[in-house]
Amino acid sequence: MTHTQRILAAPMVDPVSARTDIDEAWQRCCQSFCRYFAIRTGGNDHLIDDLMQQLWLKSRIKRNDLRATEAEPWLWRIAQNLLREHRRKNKNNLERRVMADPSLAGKLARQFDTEEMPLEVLERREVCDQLLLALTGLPNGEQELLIGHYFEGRSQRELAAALDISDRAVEGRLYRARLALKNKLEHLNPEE
Amino acid sequence: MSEQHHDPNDTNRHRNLLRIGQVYSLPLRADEVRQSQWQRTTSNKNINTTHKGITFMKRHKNLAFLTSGAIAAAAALAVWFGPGGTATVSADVILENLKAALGRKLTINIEDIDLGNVAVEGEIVLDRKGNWLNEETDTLYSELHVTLKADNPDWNDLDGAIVVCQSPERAWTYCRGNGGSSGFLTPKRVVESDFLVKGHQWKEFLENPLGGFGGMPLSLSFSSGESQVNYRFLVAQRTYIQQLLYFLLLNLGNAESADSVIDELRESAGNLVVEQNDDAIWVLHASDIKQIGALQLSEPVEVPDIEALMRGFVTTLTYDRGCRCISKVYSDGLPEPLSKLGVSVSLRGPSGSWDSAEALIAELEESYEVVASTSISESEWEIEVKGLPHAVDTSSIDWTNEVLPGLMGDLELLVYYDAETKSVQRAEFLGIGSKLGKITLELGESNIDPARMEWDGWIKDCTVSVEELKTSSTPWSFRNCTVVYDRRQSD
Repeated sequence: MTHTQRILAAPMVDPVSARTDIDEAWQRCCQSFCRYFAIRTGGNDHLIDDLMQQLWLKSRIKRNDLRATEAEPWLWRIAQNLLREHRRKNKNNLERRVMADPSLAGKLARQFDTEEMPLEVLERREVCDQLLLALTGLPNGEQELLIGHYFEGRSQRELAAALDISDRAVEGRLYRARLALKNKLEHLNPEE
Repeated sequence: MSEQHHDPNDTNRHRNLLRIGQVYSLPLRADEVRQSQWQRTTSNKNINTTHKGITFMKRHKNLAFLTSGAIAAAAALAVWFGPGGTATVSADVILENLKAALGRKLTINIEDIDLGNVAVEGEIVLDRKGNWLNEETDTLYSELHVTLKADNPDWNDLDGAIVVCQSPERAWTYCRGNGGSSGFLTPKRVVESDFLVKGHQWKEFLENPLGGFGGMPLSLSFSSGESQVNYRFLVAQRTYIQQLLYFLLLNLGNAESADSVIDELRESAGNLVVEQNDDAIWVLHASDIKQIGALQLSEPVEVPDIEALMRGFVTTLTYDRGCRCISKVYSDGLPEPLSKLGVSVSLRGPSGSWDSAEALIAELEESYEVVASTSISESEWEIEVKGLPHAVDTSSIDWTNEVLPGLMGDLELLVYYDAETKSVQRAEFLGIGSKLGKITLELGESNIDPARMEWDGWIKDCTVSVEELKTSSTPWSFRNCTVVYDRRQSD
């Protein structure tokens, strides 16, 4: 069975529930998508708004393509394709374009895991780029948890209350999110 | 014991993340208004906030001073009598010498031009052999800084820079602030993106002096923790700076047009006095110059009836039967009075779901005028609608009418004449852009530190060798920091 046949054979999601799933995933993830575009395009609000509008629109137009899969990864794929398309169309523009450097990211992943990274390393722009590419390429749940805790200074208790889970569960999730960030950094995709 | 306590590496991850969270800033979280706009609006590429608005007089146009020339004409003949009572140097002599000097080597310093949320300074050096520019023989250097001020003092300002260097030996252009900012290096610190292009670009610079900024955002927002910052660069401000540079580069920097500039300046000055200072230099002081025509700095913009124009503004909606929604919102452009004044619009279409194009049209007709509707494919309809309520941004007009006049003092010109060498060595324009704004012309001078002619001083943190980037198959990709592109290879 070919890949296409497998996709076609997959059970179609009920259109109404697909729409609900997409709406929920959008509400949950739109800040992450916005951050994803911002980090990779240099933070131009007009451009980010345009990409976000296109993402929302494409999710509407293509919602019938959503088969037995989760809406969030499906939205992420659309976002990645939009970014790729934008870069291709604007390849000659002198706009900020942050690209993954797998070799550097791999080295950083090892450092991230095995030592306390010196400030002078963290302050280098290329290091900052790779770390933020990895962070903003994480699934929404892990990304929001790391940003909430480490960037916005929210305590585990606050996060637990917001997510309606126990402090212990937040601790576990944070552990897995940190590990996910290290893995993401280790396998940073130049196409992302 | 929790899971992570069994993983010794997790302690490092945790500590590194604590530090990263303190050191880096992230883009601002979108508020509800912005989020809802993503769901209502489609592509705004057709209008967007472009830099095409020409609020002021077109460039190359000769100066036209608006103040009465009657007083000035008489004052132009003013002759100052020195301490001994002997007529020494007349205004005419000084101004004729100024004209002659403008055709030679020239260094222009721009200082303290403050436009509120934007400040400008820079230096232009024209080391030329003839009256106008010769790329084969002249050494030309321009360094312009446009600083976008943070609206939160906890954050840094953005120092946009365009540096153009061209001599028989070297030619390059460096630009910092081209169309975006990464801004995530240290807390509350925003860092602009930049690029370096090798090759001759002076002609392009003369044509479009701010072109290197490309799509330098008109608005940027960042946050770190609970702190946030906004930067703005209005179309009117960009146009103003551009006009100022045209004035310096094309009017004063060109010996032929400089003559007419000086003549008109003399006619427009309310007061014209010649004095001898302590250094035995004769100083011509032209004051009460209401404005420089080439800049048209303080002329208020007549605000059109924006509501009426927007009521007649036609938006095209594409209805897609597949998603039962509006898949595209676009327009041919704003009415000319608005686009010229730098007004921008975020296009919005109604949100919702409609079973058919007819249902959408019926709903639109309840509130708006549907001009036309056409089926353009099996699944798509185009519907032209008048008067949809788009978000209109008139900040550019507001700045021109409300802020700019307050920034303008009366313009003054000081010309320094050395009677011994019978030459003008320096001239100063005061009161440009703000009371402290000053432009100094060093005439016959073109000294520049040779180190400034080298591009590598601008590249601070690039770790990729230039040679590597030259041979890169994707020279535009932003691999680490500064993009270095050798234009000569593609010529």
